[in-house]
Amino acid sequence: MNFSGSIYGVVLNDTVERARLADAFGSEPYRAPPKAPVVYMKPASSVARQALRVPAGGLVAAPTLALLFARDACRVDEATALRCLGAVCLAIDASIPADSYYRPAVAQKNGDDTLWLGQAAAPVLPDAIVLEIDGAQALHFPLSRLSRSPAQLVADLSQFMTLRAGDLLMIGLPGDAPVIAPGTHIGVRGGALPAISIEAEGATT
Amino acid sequence: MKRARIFHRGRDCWADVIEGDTVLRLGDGTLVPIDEAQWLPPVTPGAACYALGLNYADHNKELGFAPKLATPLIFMKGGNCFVGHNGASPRPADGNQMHPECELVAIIGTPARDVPVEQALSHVSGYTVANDYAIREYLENYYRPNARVKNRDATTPIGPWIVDAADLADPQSLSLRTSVNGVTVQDGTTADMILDVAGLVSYLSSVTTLMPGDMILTGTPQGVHFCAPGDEVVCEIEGVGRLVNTLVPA
Repeated sequence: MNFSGSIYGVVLNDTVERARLADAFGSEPYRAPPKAPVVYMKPASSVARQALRVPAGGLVAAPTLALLFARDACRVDEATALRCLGAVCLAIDASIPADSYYRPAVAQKNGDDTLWLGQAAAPVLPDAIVLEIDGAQALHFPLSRLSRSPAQLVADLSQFMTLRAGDLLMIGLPGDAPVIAPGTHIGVRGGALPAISIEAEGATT
Repeated sequence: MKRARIFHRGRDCWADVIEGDTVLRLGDGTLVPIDEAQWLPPVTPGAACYALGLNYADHNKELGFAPKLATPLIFMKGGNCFVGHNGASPRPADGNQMHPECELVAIIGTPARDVPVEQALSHVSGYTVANDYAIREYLENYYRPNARVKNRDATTPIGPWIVDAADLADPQSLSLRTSVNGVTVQDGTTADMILDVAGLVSYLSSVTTLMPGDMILTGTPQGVHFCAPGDEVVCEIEGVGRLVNTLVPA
């Protein structure tokens, strides 16, 4: 998957996770439920080339879908948002486990070789994404679980930040993604998209 | 040496700033008088951009936070944010608490991974000036400062140019000043950073591999001043540059 711009993702776009955290959203430090999409970014250094690198403490391996923009999405509406896409791919976004969404998670999310991007295909969205660990199904993540659909997400983000041609956007992470250890084999499938099959190797740091 | 990125005859080019900052010289030798330059952000496309929140003790006190956080508050910015010298930034009609933040920007020159503080500055190739506007009405307590505050289109003026690190004796003894319509609203010094440039490079290199062209916006001193459409906002850092921006209604 070729990208030339910024890599964005959103958290808290999973209705199941949002329901679980509903009480916490009203308490410190949040005080109110999130209104705008909750955005994070990853650097190009995080894109893995051969294997995911997982430190001894493990990483949360979240299967998701990455949208590649072929045209700038600036103040688009939900009906036209997905016309800006040029391709999509399956992805695994791995992070150090964290129990707070209060401060940006650069220290948890920006590690080298923590983002695996599958082979790109025409932008036809799957109904669900399946994560397999060592050959066994670990997670079934239907896109109907998303709080904002991909089109709604692009439309809402595009009201204040242009998703530019060459940018990537990951559409949301399942709140119940498992923690994986070094030595694990990981697979991701979704619709007719090219599947992912990779190893999680130990990280030296 | 100073390097700028400009739009010239239908394409973007890097140029050397010469003749006492009066002329730009492109790679092919073409000379462009500085007052004819169409300034672009001096940013390498695809570079990672890190920015600091709450990295000056006086600013933290002003906002009601502890003088020093347990872990540095760092977020990333996308390519959509940047706008060059003499550019315009949208000031939303409901953004009455939009304020400028003058920041020293360090640009990485060589890959940095697990770099000790003592060697960190050898990975910095240059410096520039950024104005990392914030709009406080849009703050939410999720990944705060959230994207709607800090990742808006064209709300991070940056430039006019990059000064070689070798030409800056000490990045921690520079005065920073912001003026709005000629009135000084921020007047600080990089000596007051909590985590200095070397500390920031070292810390980030423990998280990720910093690559050439990656940038670190190192935070801003005190002086929260809310701006209006039409305001001319100038951020100036001693020995680095003077960055001009105008707010336009949006």
